[in-house]
Amino acid sequence: MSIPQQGGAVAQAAAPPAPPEALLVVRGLVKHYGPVRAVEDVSFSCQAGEVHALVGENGAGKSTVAKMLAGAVSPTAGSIGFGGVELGSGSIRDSRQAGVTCAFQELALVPEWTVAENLSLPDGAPLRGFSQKKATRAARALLDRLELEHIDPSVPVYSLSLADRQLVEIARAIAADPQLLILDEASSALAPPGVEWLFRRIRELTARGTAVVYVSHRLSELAEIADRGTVLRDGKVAGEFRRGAWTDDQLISLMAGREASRHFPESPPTPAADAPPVLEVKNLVSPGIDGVDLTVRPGEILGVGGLQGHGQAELLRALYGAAPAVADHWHLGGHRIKRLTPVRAVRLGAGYVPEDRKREGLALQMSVGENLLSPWLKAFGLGGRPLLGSQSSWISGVLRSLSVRTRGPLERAGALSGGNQQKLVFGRWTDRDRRLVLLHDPTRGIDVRAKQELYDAIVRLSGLGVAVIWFSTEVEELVHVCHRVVVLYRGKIADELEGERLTADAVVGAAVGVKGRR
Amino acid sequence: MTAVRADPAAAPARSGFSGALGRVPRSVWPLAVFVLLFLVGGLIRPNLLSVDSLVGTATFAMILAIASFGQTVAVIQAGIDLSVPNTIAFAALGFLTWTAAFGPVLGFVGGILAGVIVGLANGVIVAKLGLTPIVTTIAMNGLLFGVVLLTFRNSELTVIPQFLTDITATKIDLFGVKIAAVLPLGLILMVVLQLVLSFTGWGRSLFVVGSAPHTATLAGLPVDRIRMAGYALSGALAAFAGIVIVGFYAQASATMGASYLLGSVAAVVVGGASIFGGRGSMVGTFGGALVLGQVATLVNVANLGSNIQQLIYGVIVLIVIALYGRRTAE
Repeated sequence: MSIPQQGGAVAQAAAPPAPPEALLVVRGLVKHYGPVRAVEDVSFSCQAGEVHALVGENGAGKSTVAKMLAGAVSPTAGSIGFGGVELGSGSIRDSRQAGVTCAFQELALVPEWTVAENLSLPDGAPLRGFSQKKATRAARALLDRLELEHIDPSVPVYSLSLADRQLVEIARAIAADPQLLILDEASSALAPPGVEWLFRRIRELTARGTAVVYVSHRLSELAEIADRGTVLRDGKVAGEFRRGAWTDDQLISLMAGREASRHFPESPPTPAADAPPVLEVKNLVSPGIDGVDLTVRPGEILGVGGLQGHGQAELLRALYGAAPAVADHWHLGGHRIKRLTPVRAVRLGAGYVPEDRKREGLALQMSVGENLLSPWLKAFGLGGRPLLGSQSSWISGVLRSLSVRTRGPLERAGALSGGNQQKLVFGRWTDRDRRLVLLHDPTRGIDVRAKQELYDAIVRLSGLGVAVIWFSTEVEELVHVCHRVVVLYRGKIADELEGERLTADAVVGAAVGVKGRR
Repeated sequence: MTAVRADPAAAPARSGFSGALGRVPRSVWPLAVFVLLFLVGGLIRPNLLSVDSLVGTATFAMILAIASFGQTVAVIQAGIDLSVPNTIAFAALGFLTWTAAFGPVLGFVGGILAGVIVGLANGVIVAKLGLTPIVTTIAMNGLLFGVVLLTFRNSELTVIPQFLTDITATKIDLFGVKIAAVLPLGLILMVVLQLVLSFTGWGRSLFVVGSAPHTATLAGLPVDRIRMAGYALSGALAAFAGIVIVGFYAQASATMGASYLLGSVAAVVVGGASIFGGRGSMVGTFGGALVLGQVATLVNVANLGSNIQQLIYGVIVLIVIALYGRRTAE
């Protein structure tokens, strides 16, 4: 686990001179947002038919580089040469015409439009007529060609799951038949089959000579798909790597700039089995949930696994009262529940970290401190600065224990990077007398260091006797951190794994429905 | 190459300046614009640069501001209250009628209660039934107009209770300048409401609900109740404005609120509130009302008539929304 100077292909020096035949040549790219230096000096090149990975922690500048390539952001300085043409005008249209398309992490789809309308969006010349029928037919053909038969082109995008929306976003980028495809965290919401689907598409494209710039946090994906890659740290190139000549630890220490490894915290001691359960629910029924039984004890970390769209999101929402649900028998924190609302759930000691931190987790215009305090506002109590003042020791404690990188409680939450925003959504429930915390994939799309800090925080929480129900799309997380994992399949519990039986293979197996009990 | 090198050097300087500008609270902007307009007025007609002219504009602006404080509450929570005009008329006429019948105290309480009920009805429809605020409140406005015409058709409404005149129209001598009592009354109301917005749990949760309704729900805030309370307060403040207007102008009619439909929205928007919710302040709304008041003064000086005034208000709202009302991408 040394800093990999001797790692052969992994070089810490700046980029070598680009070979003349490179399709994409990026030189000395710089982007400043006012005093914030998002990208300092980034150079790399990418050949036709090659998958080039951009990796780095959140805030390292990957997304900014991807946006500059896509034309969504114009660089402060530097050049982007693409097949002899100079890009970087800051116009998505110019980039598209040159053959560059991008699938963004924060989905660039219109939620109220149908899938077909969204797919025809980029090419919808304003003066050409638009036919709903033709668009739906074209979209059907496109989705079939891309093996996305399960997506109905005539439904509005907001009714799709996050994973399906991401698939539509990728399909739209592929549909333009690009010469350069940029995938900016495009796999962040995809379950393993979705990722395999994405890799098949990438291989098709590269076989035709398309270059792919692949931005991701998931090292296991990089090992499979990336031919070459560039590691970014603090807006600069920290190193480069080549297929097969790197290890996870090397890459992580390049990203973090320190010795680090992909480690999970030690599982906290198994909670006492005789303690009265925090949550007990029998035959829970809700849209997408078809009869789930659960018992969670204080200090227990219960993982929820399964493929996307099998009821995990719905289960968490139902248990928090954010979706209508009924059960034969339902106790939360010692209280009998007939109908639950989020207000009542919070009063009974529950907390929830939702799926979409920007829309459901935070008020981006408001300050870091006020976001932390938002569940704790009392209508007839203090608020604003006086409350921040009286709660300042709690706020600084939360910010410190989660290592939130912020200029202070008065900074706008929208100005933080994704991982730090996620920590705020999580942090508001810590140290607040919670009995049950529900987590919806809190580590999605955040960097390695932030992930490990969140793991530690979750384990700490359980050590204090808080029960945690944690849905994750990363099987490794479930296997290493949770005491017990239930795997959902079609809205039911397909298997419950514990102790010896809790392995990654078992979780994946149950998720695809092969080892189900029913 | 020199150009490229010079660019990053220039950028921090520019951003330093705009950063400093960005730190100025939004509510200061309308006040600055007002001062500018005041000076412009002085250039056109030097006698406008007088304390009397300033007090005159401020008094007019304060009445508009009182009528707009409720609108501010509605806009902050990502709603809008278009029932302000006829809430004003209903409360004013109701106040006079009930004062004649039951005495001023009950008349006052009745007037405010009427506003609370109208606001609560708006709030229940918006929060519980999920109808759009703009449609709900404009329908409520129409409904109220019918109620006003039916209820107060033949009333003789000329007796203004003395206490009301005392707190609105009576001139107070302040350092040799005579100001109407409505000015300090409005300032006190503004400060109290601003404190409620900035420093109470309910005030802050109004901002959370306005800027991110899903977040507020999932954080366990009682969003429906916060919304309904917001609309109820908006109705109560509109009713209070109606009573103040009666006291100040010593007359009431079914159409007395008409000019406050556009006026209240304009004051709130010019005052720096986001029409999408989550941003706005009482101080800013007063600043917005001052700007509009000065515009009205200039229109009067130029002898253009009140129709032109409405036209100019409309143009101002459009310009302001075009300038900073757009939803900024996060």
